[in-house]
Amino acid sequence: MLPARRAWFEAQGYTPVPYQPTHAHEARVLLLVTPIRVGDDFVRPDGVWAQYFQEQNPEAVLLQAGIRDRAMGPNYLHWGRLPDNFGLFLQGAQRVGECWRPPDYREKKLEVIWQRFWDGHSREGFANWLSKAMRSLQIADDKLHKNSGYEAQGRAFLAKPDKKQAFENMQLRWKSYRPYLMLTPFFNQIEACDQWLRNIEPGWTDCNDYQSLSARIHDCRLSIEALDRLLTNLSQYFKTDVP
Amino acid sequence: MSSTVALRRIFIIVWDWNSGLHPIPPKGLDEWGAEGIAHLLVRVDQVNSPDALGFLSDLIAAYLPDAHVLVFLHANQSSHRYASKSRGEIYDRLGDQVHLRQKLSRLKINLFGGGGTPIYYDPDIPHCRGFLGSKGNFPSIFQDPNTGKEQEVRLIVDAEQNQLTSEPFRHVWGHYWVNTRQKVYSLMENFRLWIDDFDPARYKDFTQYLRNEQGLLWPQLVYFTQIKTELKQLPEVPKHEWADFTGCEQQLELAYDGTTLADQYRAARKTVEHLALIKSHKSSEEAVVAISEIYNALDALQNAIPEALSYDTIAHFPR
Repeated sequence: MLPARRAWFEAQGYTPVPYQPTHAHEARVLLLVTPIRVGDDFVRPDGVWAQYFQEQNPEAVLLQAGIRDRAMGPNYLHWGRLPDNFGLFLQGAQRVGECWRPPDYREKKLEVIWQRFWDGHSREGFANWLSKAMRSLQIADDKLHKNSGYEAQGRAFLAKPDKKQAFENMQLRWKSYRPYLMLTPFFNQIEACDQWLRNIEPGWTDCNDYQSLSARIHDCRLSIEALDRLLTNLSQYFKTDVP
Repeated sequence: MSSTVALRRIFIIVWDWNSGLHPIPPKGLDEWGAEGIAHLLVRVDQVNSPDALGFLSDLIAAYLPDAHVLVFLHANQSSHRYASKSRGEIYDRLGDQVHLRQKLSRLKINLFGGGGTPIYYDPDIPHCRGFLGSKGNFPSIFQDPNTGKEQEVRLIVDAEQNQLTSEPFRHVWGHYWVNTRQKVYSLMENFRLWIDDFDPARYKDFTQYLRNEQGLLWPQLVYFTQIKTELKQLPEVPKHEWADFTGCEQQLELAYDGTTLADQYRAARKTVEHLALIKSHKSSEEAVVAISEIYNALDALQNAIPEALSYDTIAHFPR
């Protein structure tokens, strides 16, 4: 933040700090300077933050800041027209719990990008590949658990082209969309997903016997089930006003 | 008018045409003309396969010597199954032909699917005024979900002569080839991001500060304003797609019937040229005003262009 802007906030009795997940419950004001650049794209995650804060901290005020003259609503802080009294300005702004929703400037919304990530077109989204990969691991794990003679069959089952494709596509889609997901308040969760996904990378060949294969598959199953639970839970925050 | 505009425009769309009222003849393709202009829609309905990619590469190669070619591959997993790598394979096949290598800048290949994007026609979505209706058909009858009233859309001018109205050709070209709104929007937001750290007390260095940007912004500013002295100094590297403003002004005139938008485009260009690249600012206040005027002239322009910012630039297909 420009020193002059920081000084203005401080003169008004506010100290701007970078957002940390621990602030979700205690923040009084959240300042979103959006859209955010990802590669050559610009994306607005504002709706997802609003949805998240509505649940976590409805008393908070989400402000959008910038230099847009046609900006709408009482929650826009125009850098070129800073108010004399920020406290009064905040009183006039809407709290998240008052159903404040970011105005639609016809820009790219993170909610739509999530829809492409999660659902995709015609069942080619992450959710589909995750579900197929998870089902494969559950079947292999259950059978290995019941029958030690299933080792060779289990290896062949997981090596089938459709199973391999599910694992590969799941990883590829994650890599493509991860930078966008990092625009959300869910940094810690995304990093947990990274860890689980690293753990699910198919690597059965180094498991030389039944015991190690069985343990590895079971471990992968636990990771993928945890991944599924977490992302399914997060998906609620992306269902805002997608057209 | 630049020489690039004089080339024919060929639209090749691979889609579910054979499920529709006008299936494709056995030779695997047919051509539909545009009323009053020399553009051509070529319809193909082939599932992704090495043979199909070969067929498409040959088809593109036949048009490319004297046309711009805009290709749309249906990425639906349950029908045509094209993906990003199909695009690369077609480029590779064409690049293997020496006489076409220099012409590949005339080709753009898009993936599409799922509806709601400008290649489709949807009466409820202003940016959906394209070629595709439902079930492999050109758009024809739509029912208003609220009133149940039927609304007719006539895209086909003459079914015997394979002729369509010119609107979808202009609309789709504007969105997928010229993409003016996306470019202006990208310039505007790159400007905001870079200028956000500018200290107005350094008002004398305003233009130099912009020039110091190492990414897309400086080329965008120069190509948008077309200042000759600056153009000469740009490094000789291929233009980034979103820094290429060639044809944007003409497209606004052609696609949106009239000069209002084109006038606004010219006015925004003048504002940016004067305030960002020519004027010597005399105070920090002047610099602050200039920043606001540049950003807001671009914002007003991009907001006035009835195009959607495309989500197709986002990697949504497995690579």
